[in-house]
Amino acid sequence: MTYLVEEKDGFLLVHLEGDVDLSTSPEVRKLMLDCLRKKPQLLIDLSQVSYIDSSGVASLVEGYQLSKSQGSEFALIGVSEAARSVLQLARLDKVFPIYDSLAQRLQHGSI
Amino acid sequence: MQETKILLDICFPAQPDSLHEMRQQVADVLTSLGLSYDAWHPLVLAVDEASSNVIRHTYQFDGNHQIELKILLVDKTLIFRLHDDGDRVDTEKIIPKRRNQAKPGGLGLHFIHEIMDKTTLIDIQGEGNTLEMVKYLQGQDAR
Repeated sequence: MTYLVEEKDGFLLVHLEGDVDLSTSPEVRKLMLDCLRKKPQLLIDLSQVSYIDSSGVASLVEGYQLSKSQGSEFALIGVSEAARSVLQLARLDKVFPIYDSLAQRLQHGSI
Repeated sequence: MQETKILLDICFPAQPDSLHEMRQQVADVLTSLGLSYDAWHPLVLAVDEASSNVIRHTYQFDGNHQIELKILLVDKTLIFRLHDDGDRVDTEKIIPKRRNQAKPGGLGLHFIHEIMDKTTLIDIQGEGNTLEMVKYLQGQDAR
């Protein structure tokens, strides 16, 4: 798995690529929690995620919970088919805010 | 008597880094049966989750152990058998508990039970644990 963090339009964007599984999810968890502490508007781009398991989903849940507790924003964008099917299986596809892209998120209003 | 085909018989190190290659091998076997992505992807996920549970809970990340995986095809039934040589697991521990959606715990077991038709801890080798997960391939290709 690789990742790229960029700041754009007032958001911190984390682009994840590859497999988010037991070997990589601890890094993803740390990355997301660190990002949320730096900037309260975090978008996780899952468009290039080829595989995600329960440990990866649990990391996303932790990020979402931290954002709720500190009143910040945490959303998923461009969720790949592989990731979407796992979120559906976890019945979390209606829990996370999910947008097709950063542009779609921006259409939903300013930060 | 129905013929049993052994589709895969592998042993891999009980380490998180080994899971990617194991998943690839399982995916190759399942696609060779003619299963679509929507059919094989959840099965790979279930086997991966079961293997992750062994690494985390049975071996507690001690990577010196091995995990054995067999995939059998009996008529149109797929049987995934995962064996470890760790301490005996309480059968109650493979039953998923009621989940709170917004809590991260227990997701792996939830996935396994949602995906597979039957999940049992069987006692066939006298030591360790053998988890058997069964999937009936009704209406799906299994050439």
